[in-house]
Formats: sequence, C-alpha cells, structure tokens
Amino acid sequence: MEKTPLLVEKFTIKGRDYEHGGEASSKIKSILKRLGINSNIIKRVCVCAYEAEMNIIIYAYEGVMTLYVYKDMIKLIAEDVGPGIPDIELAMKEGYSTAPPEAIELGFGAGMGLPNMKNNSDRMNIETELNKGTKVTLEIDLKNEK
Amino acid sequence: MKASKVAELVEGEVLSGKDLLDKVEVNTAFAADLMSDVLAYVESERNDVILITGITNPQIVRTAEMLDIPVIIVARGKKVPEETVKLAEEKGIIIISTKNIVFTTSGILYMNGIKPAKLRVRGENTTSC
Repeated sequence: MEKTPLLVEKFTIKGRDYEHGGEASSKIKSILKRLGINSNIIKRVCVCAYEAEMNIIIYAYEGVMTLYVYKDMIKLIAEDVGPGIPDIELAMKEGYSTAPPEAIELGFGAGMGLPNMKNNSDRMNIETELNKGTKVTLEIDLKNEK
Repeated sequence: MKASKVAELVEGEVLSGKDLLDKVEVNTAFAADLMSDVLAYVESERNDVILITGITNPQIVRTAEMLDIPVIIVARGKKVPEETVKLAEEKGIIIISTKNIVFTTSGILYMNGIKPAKLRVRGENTTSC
C-alpha cells in the first residue's frame, strides 16, 4: 500500500566529488525546514542523508538520492552505480571500513556510516549487487521522537 | 556563554560569523576529528554545541550545519582553507581558530563552565523496511 508522497526531490551525486559533499543533504535540510518539520527529526534525516551522500562519493561512481515526504514519514533512497557491498553484515559493524585515505582525511570512512544511518532511522534496508551498485532505503517516522 | 567569550578564552582568531559573536549562546562542547562520530554522538537539541576539531576541510561546516552546531573551534593553529571559511560564512556558522591543541582548548572551556555535549540515544529498534 504505497501512499502518494507530498513531495519528491531527486539529487544527483558524483563519485569522488568530495568538494561538493554535503550539498544534497544541505538542500534536503532547507526543504524540510521550509515544510516546518520538527528540528530533531530534521537532524536525524540529515545525518542519514549526509552519511548516504558521503558513501556514494567515497565508494560509488555515481548515484541518486531521492527524498520522499509523506504525511507521516520521510523516506530517503540512495541508489548508486558502484562496486556493491560484498558483506553487508561486516559493513554494518561499527569501525569496519574499506574507505580510501582521502575519505579519512575528511573525517569520514571510519566505519560509522551505515551504523549511523541505522541509528537515526526507524527502518532501513540495503540491497546490493557486486559490481552493479547499492540501494539504501531509510524511513523516519514523523510522529515518534527517537 | 556568548561565542565572543569563547573566542576570548581560547585566544582565538574569528574567521567567520564575526557578526554573530554576541548573538550566539553556547553551553556544551564535543571534540573530534572524525565527523562521522560527531554525526553519531552529538544530540545538539538546544543548538548550543561547540565543535572542537583539528580538521579544516568544508566537511566540518557541513557536519555542523546538519546538526545546527553554531560554533567550530579549529585547534592546533591549523590553516583553514578559504572554501571552508566561505561556506561557514554562507551558513552562518562561527569558525574560531586557536593555536591551542584540542586538549588545552577543551580544558580552558571546561574550567569556564562549558559542559560535555549531550549524547544521542542510540536507536536499537530500527527494523527493516
């Protein structure tokens, strides 16, 4: 039973484009602020969005992040064309990372990305295929303050 | 505590947000070089957190922006690139540069009443969608 979203916004993200890392998440923040969403919910969405955006930049060739705003929920889908995740369970472990040194210099790539997304969302799903790409779906409920 | 007082205490140079120094009130702080840890741990529900770091790239501003952190202190006298300062100016975030190391900066602020930032309650109930 897929409801119709009130708002859908797509953002294109390029792999290795460290310079613009965070721009899509920044735009998502402005949109949610304009909609008058509770600021603690916005922070949780932004942490998810920012980590998802950095993951595409660090690991993938290119990707699209889509924001869906529903009456009772916010959904983020980050879908990339990239190497895929060989072992999701390992990738979900705090501290496990395969990030290159340039990501670590920026303060990322320390194996906190996926766990951070999980901690800030109410529902999360990862679909991945090796040498094809990864799709991360995150849902944050608008009512319950976590 | 006013941001202007923070700058004075750490003997810092204000690189961005000079016009905000007497408007912004901060009460707590978090120190890290790992931006993912800032995103993971800082609750920032009152928007009164100081981020103390040794990282200088624009991602520190992006991280602060996501969590509504109003003040960043760059320690160890590290040179902050122009693009970081520009982004901070644009986003209304104060950057203070200090020659003090993170340890000393934290100690000075702690002695003057700045408390540890409130930490985020880790979500244990996340399910699959």
